[in-house]
Amino acid sequence: MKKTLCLMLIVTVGLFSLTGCQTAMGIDKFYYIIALGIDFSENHLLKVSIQTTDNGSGESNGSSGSGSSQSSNYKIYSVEAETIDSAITILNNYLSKKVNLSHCSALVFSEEVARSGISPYISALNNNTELRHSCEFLISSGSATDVLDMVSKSGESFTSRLFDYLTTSSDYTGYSIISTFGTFFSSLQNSYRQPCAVYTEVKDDIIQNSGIAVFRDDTMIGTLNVLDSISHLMVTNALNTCQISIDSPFKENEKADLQLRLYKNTDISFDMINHAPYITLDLYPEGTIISSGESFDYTDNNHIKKMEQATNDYIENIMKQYLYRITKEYQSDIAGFSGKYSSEFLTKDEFDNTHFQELFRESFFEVHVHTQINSSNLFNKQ
Amino acid sequence: MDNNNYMLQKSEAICIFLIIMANKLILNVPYYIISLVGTGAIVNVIYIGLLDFVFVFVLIKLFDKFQNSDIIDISEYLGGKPLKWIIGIIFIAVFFIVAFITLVDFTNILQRIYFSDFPIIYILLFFIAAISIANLSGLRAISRTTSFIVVLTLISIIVTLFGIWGDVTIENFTPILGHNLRTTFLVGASNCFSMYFITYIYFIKPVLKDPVGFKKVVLTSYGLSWLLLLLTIIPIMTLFNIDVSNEPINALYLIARKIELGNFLQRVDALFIFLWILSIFAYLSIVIYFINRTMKKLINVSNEKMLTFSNCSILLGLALIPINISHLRFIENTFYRYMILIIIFGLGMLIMLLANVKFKWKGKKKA
Repeated sequence: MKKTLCLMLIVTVGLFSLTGCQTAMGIDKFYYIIALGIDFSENHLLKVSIQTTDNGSGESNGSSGSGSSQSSNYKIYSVEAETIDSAITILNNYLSKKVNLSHCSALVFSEEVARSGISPYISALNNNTELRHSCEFLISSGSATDVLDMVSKSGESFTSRLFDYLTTSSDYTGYSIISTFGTFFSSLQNSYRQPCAVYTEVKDDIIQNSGIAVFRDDTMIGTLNVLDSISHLMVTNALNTCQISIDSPFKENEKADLQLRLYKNTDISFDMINHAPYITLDLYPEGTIISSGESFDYTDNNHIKKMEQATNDYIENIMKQYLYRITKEYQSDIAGFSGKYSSEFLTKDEFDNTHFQELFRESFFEVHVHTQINSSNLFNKQ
Repeated sequence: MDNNNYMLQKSEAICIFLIIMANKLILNVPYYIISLVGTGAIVNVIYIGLLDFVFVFVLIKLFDKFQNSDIIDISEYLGGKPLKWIIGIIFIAVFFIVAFITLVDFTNILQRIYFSDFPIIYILLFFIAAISIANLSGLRAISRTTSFIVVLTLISIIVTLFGIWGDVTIENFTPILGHNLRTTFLVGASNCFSMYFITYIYFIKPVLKDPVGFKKVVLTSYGLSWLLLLLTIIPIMTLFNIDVSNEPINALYLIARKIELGNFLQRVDALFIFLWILSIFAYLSIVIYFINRTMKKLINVSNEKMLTFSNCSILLGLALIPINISHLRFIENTFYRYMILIIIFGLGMLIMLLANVKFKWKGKKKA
């Protein structure tokens, strides 16, 4: 009898696990978005755009037969609201499903929004438990909605990957930086380093990296070009590899192409001269010659030395241009010099007494480049 | 062996100490250390490590004279039943306050992250049921479960360190002495409260199978706990800027959110939260066990397990007190800090010193 009662109890409880629950939040009740764009509307409100698959739920697409949430048909929905959260609530109501950010692969802000101060939007998004820190973070020269639209029409099967390509191309071009929501939020919180992000432009139906969007605190104040981006990666020791074209030291009007990487981290030393920071940088690039015209002989050590000197001059030139732009033009320490200088002090009070952060704009630089050419690819002579 | 009289092996006792420490690390204790001393946190943790070590070492020496005794027995020896009752009630109150803070804090985090649509009482009842079952099953069940869970919890904490290893730079930890020497060493001495597991040193000796191994158990636990604290401080300092006036609800959770092992293993925070739920179960079961045991000594009941129901009900009642985030923050960072310093480091040590003086004085009198 006792056994039967126990069995009945287990079966009764077990029955509940076999039933559906009307109020349960399942995968079919969410709208998974691929990218989020933030603009200002004509009514001076926030215009929040989401890029999503045609059904948004990851259900199978009839035409492609794909079960992936990244199917090839995309839709963009835009709403106007005062805050990001209220925009998402409006979208929840309009779509009759809950918008879910856990698969959001890119966050695009328009330059207009970035120039007005980005902190309230970043704080709102950071408080969201769904959004990943690895989500790509982009600043668009034009409207963020245009970027989402362009990506949707790119023909790329998996558009979330296109956002990845946009930023990971910095690994082999050096023309942009790694910029994710997490890295941007960290630098926004960091009192020793100003934030920066990938700057994209939409031109002739193509989205391309155009360098770096420079911020002071939470406000975008300008942009750096792709050569500045290479310099930035060298100073911050984040350069993977890049390609540069320099004037050939052997023949006028000829160019030489080199692939560079750093064989040693950049050394930075500080001095205070007449209440102005005097910063010395020692850079250690290692180069491979990709092409250098017709008249070269790298079996001759003099040729290598000449090429190294030409590379040193070129890097010193672009580096100084970058350093003076961030100090004099933008007054934004995106390279984190303050943090490096602070490590020379034992206490924060001692560091604060130097007023380095206020004096940063008065900085002047000395750059030493120690290039090593170690390969000429397939031919040593031509 | 009767489950009621189960004695702990050395390794089980170490695991119990470690799970207590791990729970303080899972909640925001490391962040409170950093928010007080800034970039001087590494030096401060080494400093408080030395201070706490001296305290623990003295405590071990003071326990030498009292075999199979905890602080309640020693209080009775020192001041008779009145002192035994006073000390017993104070320590029960400490255990309840700490358990209640842990439960409220963690269930709030759980609700905010995963169960925002559920009333908090459902989550609380889930914990209370598990703690009750564990305590009714006895110390053997608690210690064996703890020994299993502690390994997984420690792995999760260490993985958070390796997860952010790529972001670690020297600038995150400099200036090495923090704001100034006064903050790091004088004000920062109050961070001694972070080694909270010291409270349980006062109670562990009678439940050890081999009381001779008491010193070894305590010193090993101390070393490992200190190392854990240091390893938790590093990722938090790397990710959060303490100069900016933001405070995460749970620093370790936010770090776990950031961890990605390639493209194939992301959102490990979900797994970590699951492990931390188990860890909180184990920890609260231990606290209720020691509350039961202390009460048993005060009121002379034959079976302390039956006290589980009343104590778990009190814990549930405390957890249902409507307190907002500012109250919780005040209790965790200010009240809790000074409560531990005054009662555990002050009162506890005073009782032990006086008991030793009495022991020597009595010995001399006999001679």
